[in-house]
Amino acid sequence: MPEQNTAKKVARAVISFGTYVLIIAIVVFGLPKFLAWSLNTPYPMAAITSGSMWPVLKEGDLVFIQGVDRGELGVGDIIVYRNTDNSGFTIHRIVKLEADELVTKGDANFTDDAPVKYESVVGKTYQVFGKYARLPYLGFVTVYATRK
Amino acid sequence: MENLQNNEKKTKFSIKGLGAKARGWLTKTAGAPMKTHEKVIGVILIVVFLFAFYVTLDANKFPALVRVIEGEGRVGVNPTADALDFGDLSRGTSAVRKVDIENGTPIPMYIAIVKTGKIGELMKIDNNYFTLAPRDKAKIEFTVYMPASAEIDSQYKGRVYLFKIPTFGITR
Repeated sequence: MPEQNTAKKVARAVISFGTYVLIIAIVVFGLPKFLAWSLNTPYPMAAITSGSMWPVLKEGDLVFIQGVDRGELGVGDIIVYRNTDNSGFTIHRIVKLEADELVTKGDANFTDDAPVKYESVVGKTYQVFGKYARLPYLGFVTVYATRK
Repeated sequence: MENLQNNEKKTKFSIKGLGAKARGWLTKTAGAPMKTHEKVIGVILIVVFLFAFYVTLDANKFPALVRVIEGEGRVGVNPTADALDFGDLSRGTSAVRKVDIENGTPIPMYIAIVKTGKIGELMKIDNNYFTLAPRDKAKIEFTVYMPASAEIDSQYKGRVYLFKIPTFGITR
């Protein structure tokens, strides 16, 4: 009888542990895929690694990116684009739209960035009720990894 | 003499009574008497709490502030020892304040500096986390840079907390 109880306890512990592992796996692997599908971009999340968009976006924020077509871009939008030297991504505000390229600038910066081709644009920052959706401090993991 | 003995007995009785009362309350709350490992965990938690309480009380707290002024390259300094006052800064300029700290104890101290408030978002600290050797000194630099998006005439405030955590030689 005590052996049966022990077996039951072990089985319960194994099932509980398996359930936790499954939930964590769904969150870790499933959430990014779900976001990529729902936001229509392969890069649905981005961490703010500098203060160039202060005070709208702060260092350490985690923001959501929405894939958009060229026609949906407008002056004032905060966009994410791939850097020309493939050194990563930049999140800045559009200040000028031209025929083949667009010009961006960080809110906290004094000068415009070099023009960016439309093909390099990944998307624009996702908004909820007119406000930029951001998760403060969650991006510090990426910030820390970038600096190391 | 008899009175004194009575008093001693009463004192002993009251301390015992207090312990018994506490045990009784715990037993009633938990529904069973505390086991040995629960007592050990309880003592550890109390020690950790007291340690955190001491570190928090011992922390140095500096109010920090800066005002945004119009123009280019303009810096107004307000020197004060009580606060990290960065004075008046125009966009594109920066100011530096230095704080000297000394570990006067024979124990190595882990120094952790935490900044809060709006000014904390503009402030850079040259060394946030480090270990200070016994009887050693260190100079910490706080730099505030005023970005292009700062609002003219606004004042950014915050606080800087300098925690000194005794490491007992665990970290170097």
